[in-house]
Amino acid sequence: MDIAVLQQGLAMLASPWTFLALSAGLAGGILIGALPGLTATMAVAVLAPFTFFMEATIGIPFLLGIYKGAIYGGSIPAILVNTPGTAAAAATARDGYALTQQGKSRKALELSLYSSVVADFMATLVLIMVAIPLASIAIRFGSPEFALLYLIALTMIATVSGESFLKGLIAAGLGLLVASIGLDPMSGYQRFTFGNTDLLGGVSLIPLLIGMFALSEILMQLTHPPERPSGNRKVVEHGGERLKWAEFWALRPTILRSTSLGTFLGSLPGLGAEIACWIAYGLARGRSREPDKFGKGSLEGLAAAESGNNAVVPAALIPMTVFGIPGDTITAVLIGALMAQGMMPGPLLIQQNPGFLFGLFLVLLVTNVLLLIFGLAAIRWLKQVTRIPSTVLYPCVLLLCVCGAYAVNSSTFDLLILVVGGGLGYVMRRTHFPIAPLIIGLLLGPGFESAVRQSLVFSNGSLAIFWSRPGSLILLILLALVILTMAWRGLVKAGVIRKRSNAHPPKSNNT
Amino acid sequence: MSHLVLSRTILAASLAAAATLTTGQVFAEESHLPDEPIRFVTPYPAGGSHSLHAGIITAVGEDFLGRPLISVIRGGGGGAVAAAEVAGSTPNGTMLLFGDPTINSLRPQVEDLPYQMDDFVPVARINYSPAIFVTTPDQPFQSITELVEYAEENPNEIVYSSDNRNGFTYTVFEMLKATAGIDMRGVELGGGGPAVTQLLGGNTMAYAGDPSVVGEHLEAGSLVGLCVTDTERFEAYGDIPTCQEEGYDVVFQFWRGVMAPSGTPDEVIAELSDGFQRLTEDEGFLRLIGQIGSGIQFLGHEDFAEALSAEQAALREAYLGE
Amino acid sequence: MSICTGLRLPGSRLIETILAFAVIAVGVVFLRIVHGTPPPFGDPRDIGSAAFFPGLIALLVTGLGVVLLLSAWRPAFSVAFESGHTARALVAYVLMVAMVVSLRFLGIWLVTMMAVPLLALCFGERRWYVLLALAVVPPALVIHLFEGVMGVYFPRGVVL
Repeated sequence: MDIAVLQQGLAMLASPWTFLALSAGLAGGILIGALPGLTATMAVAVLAPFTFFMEATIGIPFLLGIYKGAIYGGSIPAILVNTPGTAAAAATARDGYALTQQGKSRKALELSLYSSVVADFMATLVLIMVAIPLASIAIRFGSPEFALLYLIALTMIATVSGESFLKGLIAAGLGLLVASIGLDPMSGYQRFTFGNTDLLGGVSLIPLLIGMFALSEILMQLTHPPERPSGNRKVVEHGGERLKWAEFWALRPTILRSTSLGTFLGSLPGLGAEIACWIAYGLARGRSREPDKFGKGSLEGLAAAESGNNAVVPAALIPMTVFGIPGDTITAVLIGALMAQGMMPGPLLIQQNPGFLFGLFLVLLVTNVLLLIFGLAAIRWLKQVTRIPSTVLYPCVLLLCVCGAYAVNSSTFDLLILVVGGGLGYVMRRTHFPIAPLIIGLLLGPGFESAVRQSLVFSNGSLAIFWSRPGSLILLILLALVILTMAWRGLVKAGVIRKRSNAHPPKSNNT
Repeated sequence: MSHLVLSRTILAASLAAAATLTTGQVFAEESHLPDEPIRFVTPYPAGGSHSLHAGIITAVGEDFLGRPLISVIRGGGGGAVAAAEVAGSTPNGTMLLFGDPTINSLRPQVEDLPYQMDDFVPVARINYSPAIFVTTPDQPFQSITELVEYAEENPNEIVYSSDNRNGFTYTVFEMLKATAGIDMRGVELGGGGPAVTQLLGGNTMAYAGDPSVVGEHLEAGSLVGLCVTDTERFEAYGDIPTCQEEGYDVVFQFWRGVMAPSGTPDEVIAELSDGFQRLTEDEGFLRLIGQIGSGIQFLGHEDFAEALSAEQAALREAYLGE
Repeated sequence: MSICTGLRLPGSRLIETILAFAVIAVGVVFLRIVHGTPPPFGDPRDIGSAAFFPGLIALLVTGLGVVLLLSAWRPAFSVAFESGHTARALVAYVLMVAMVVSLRFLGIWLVTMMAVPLLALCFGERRWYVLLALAVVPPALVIHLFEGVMGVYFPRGVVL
């Protein structure tokens, strides 16, 4: 690399204003991300116009700070009150909230912070070093490969179905049906809108998600008021024990695996953190020695979900910096902000302004270090949330949910979706229907359907497109392997349980 | 809560910068607008060129319109959800739609949508951009004539990236197919980003899009321009001919304009139109618009109304006259 | 959740049956729409059409609903749902519904200032000063945060 480029990049970082803007963005981003309904995309979109009047070296780091902060912030309410701030944090809520219920919220928050930072850091290094070769592979991926990737992610329904696979499948089917509501972009048909204008755009995902998780949680708290914190009161008050280094060190294969997966999926333009977190989660469960702990406060599950969805963030910048193509909606907003600074990301930026780009990469790395510091400071306060009595906490959660659900689209119809989601989520939880498969179906259904239909246009209706391309053939074999492994494990488990249950009756190790 | 204060300070500082940047027009005569903020509705999700334009307009608009502008980003149904909402709002100038030809001219005519074309009155056209037909350097055709010849010899062989049904790209390709009498297959990929990705990755063979989407690749040489859907060449890429020059009558100007719900009083429309005109003449605004690779082709409410009804009639003929 | 230790709700089999019927009903409604005459979204048998996937999923959901119904009436049916304070949750749910329905008429301030303390009341809070604080502090804080920083403006009602 050129010395001048290096110097220019470092000079940008050395400016105190850059640093200040970055810190302010990060702090604001964590706060925004922690509020359900306010997503990173929205925060960047709303605040981007203000950066048009700032210097590029201040405005862009400010936005990057918001971006990273908001993505991390989404995991906080997921862990503390079972309310994923963003769709990508839905997998985090599963084990994170289970840990909180066991009085281990501090451990969960620390683990989520560390795995986010580690994953983000490694993925950023990948972005800096191999962006161009990785992007040239990623861009070869067409709709057939996407369809198969979606299908692999959909098989994860089996791993999150809990005690009843049948109910998991039903939930996933309902999610897929709800996802098909709205205007179909390929044919222009208005599917299942029942003449309702608001349904034309489909069922808004975030309000439904908030309703299913947060409102149903409030109702569950009323149904089963938790017993008074018994035993060691001091432990509960301080959010429980800290994460031990040995525990974190033991998770390194999980984190590494999820990070590589997240980085790869993120570098494919169009696939986001929502798909990465579930595949990473399912993969971690498949490789785990304690798969039964997943969903009940598994550290592996939490680490896998968090590192999977955070590795996507820098990876999504790969198609942006190499081709000027947005990897997801938020990078689309970032491209806009960069353009307004007179810097169109893409092949020309690499040639014409490598110093700025290098500085940007350095800023990304520094952001991670800052995120760690800010995160640790935030956890000192956040662990107190568990001390707030439920009579105060849950009314405030309700308020935030209503405001957040409205904020997504400034629509009162979304509030109806919120309460319908809340009621549905409550009924499902009371009757042992798992919610996670429904969310997976809802998140991945539209992407899967359009990828399949696009593939068929490519191939003029022939299904051979799914095995005639080298990429899709590899993925098809992978899919077959995943399904076979699952089936095999399921059979073994059924056999094993019957054998063992004669010796030891199954005991519930819930606290 | 110190976090909040900090980000607020940054915001306040940038807002102050915005205020000093513009010249600050003061209203001499009395305003007909209600004394409340104007909601400026972008009908697409955040991230596209629409929301970028809207972001700039709402950030500096207050000094020219005399009311604060609130940017409302309301995606869904390819713009139909936002359009229906604005069409049904109180017609007093407090809710405006940032419209375009697919929402205001094309789709109400060919689809069964919950609003009609005449639910809106035009206020001001901000600008327009043509589509540029592009391909990659390794395709067997490198000009629009060659593309048409290739399509004639190999009917239904050319696969092109499209955006949405009845979207910008979809429409110009339909026009090309109709005027040249050829058959090609379009894949609706949902937006400019994925469309260019699939073209660059070799999965599709052609695309037509906004200069802001394809421009950089034209400069870098990773895409080749075939023709421009305008009556004159695009200034920045003067070597690409217009489609008309090449003998194919494909003209489609994708305008971005401000629409008000019908029933809005004429004096309010005129006042808003004047406000937007002053805005588009402001140096600071023009600098920002230039930075996002866009320009201004302003039309006041009367000229815009004329151009709009001509366009609607042309599209009716092209789509329904067959 | 441990089923073994939780209190058993009587009539679990009945509830499961009702659920199965609800699932079947949803599946059938979507199936009816997809297979309407003329087919509203294209041919449901053509994999490339807009009707194929919804049709397939609706069929799947209907089928799974039937399986759920059958499994509920197996002699070995062992599912038992925990009982709880369902009535309290129902009251809170009615409150939530009332809140979002009235929001567009009464405005954000009035609705949140009533709903927040009312939910606290459902949770068993009886101290008047806590309820008063809940009515004022969280709504003021949150609404100003959303409107001031994020530029999200909530509906205003007749009074506030």
